[in-house]
Amino acid sequence: MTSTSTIPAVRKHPLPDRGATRRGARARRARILSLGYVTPTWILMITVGVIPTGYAIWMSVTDQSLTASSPDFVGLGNFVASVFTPAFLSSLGVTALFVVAGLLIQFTVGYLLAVLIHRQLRGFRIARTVLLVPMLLTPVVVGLIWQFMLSPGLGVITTFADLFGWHLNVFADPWSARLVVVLIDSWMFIPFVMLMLSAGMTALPEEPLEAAAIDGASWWQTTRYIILPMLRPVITITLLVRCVDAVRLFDVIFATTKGGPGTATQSVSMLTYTTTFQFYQFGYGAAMSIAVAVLMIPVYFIYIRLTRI
Amino acid sequence: MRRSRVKNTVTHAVLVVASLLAIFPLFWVALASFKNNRDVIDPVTQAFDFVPTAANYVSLFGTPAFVGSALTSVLITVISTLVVVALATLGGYAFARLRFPGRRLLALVMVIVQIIPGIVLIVPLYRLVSGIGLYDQWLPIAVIMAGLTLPFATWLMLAFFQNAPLEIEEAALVDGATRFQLFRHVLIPMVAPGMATAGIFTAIAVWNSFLIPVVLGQSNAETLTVYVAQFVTFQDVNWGPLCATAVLILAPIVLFVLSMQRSLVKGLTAGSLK
Repeated sequence: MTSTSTIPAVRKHPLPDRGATRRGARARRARILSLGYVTPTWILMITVGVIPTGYAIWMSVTDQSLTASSPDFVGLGNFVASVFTPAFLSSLGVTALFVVAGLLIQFTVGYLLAVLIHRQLRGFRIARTVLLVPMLLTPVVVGLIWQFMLSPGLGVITTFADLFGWHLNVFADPWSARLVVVLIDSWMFIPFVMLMLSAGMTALPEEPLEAAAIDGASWWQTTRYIILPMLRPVITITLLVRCVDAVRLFDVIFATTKGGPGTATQSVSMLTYTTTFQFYQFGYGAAMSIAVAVLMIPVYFIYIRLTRI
Repeated sequence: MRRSRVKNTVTHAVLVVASLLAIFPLFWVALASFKNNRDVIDPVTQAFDFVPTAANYVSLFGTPAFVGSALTSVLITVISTLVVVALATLGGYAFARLRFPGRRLLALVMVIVQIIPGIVLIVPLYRLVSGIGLYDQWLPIAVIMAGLTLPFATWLMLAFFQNAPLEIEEAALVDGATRFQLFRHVLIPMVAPGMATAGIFTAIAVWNSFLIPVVLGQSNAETLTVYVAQFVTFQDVNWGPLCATAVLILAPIVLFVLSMQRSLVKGLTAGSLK
């Protein structure tokens, strides 16, 4: 298996089951029996996916506060009280910032690193392995490590900045706190973008690039008009995966800023978590999480279309 | 010729710097984990001026809360991974080779479970799990983590089955092998590398998980990630023990990555690109 064949073209139609090629009762029996392979998967998906999603929708339209004796239907009351509020809208803005800034940084740096890895000079496998490490690490622990390195007075990064007369207290200033969250997310996931794009580059045909070189195209022209268009499918799926992940970013924020200073880094996940599990407003929490899922429907739609099995 | 030598030098330099940036935080936290409480808060200029001590590690292994959460993490990780690898192998095979009713619908549900924010599921799951009296137990955490990691593992196995040659299977069926024999003697040996890759990704994802365990397990079923997050309080932070805990959480992951790097590269791209 080469690295190109790891991007399998999903077959539109599955291979026919051996039994299904023969007509009649036997074929039907084989099809029913083949359900046995996916029954456990169905059970698990219904337990952790379908039932909770349905329950979340129900919670979002009923009075779920602990003081309520029995949950009453309140229509869109929870949404009015929690979603259409300045706090929620500001958390949406924070999440949008994390997504946009994160994707920009991760794509730019990840692409450039992919180009360098793709040159396959001596030792590139070592670099690729080392760069693989951050994305597989425990996000909470990564957050704590960065907090250690950024502590005023004793952190290695803050000390380094002091040398330039730049006295950092990154967790005290709203914009630097936001920047830190984006940078930690980028430190973890630039390698992911790099890996996906370099896998995509390996699969590109040689001819258009050779033709461009013969015609004397510059590096930028080759990148802009040949490589990027040819890589478009891989770029799309990579950015979608990162977008979906950045929207649910939680662990790193929890381990570093906890949403602060003030509400500067309070993303929608963070706000929903606090509302639900610190203030026990389950109806509000459900309404906010449903609102996020609804807002993400266009992204999810593209994702599902692109990854159709 | 000269231009390409400059280019190569620049390429090497950038990759070396990038690799150092990727590794440095790990090195730094490992270094700090061998310092005592005074050395760890010394100015950075004296970072290498200390007597290494294993005291942080020794005291961790004498702390029941740490040992308990480590056992919980291992238990949850092992159980989820075994379940996921078994189900992903069956499911991946079905998706790659069989026509079964509801195929598209199941794929849709699985992709949704894969991309839906954890916070959407955890709010109702907390209520449901508490409602059936399983709050602060390891079992629901293991089941939920298995469910959340199953889609990725299934797509990975699907890719491996699609790349496996069909002819051997057909030959076995012509020779009269039963479905079970086919799986046991033909398919599983063929996709064993895939199962290993799926297992490692699942194990890392479950080991790293935080949102689900922090909501569903607080003391009895506390995982290492929940345990380590409690080191940071508003008063002060015990950086030495924190760094030692961080090293113990990350070490298994780093070892896996270094020993399995090739299949990880394949798995990451295959599972994400499907």
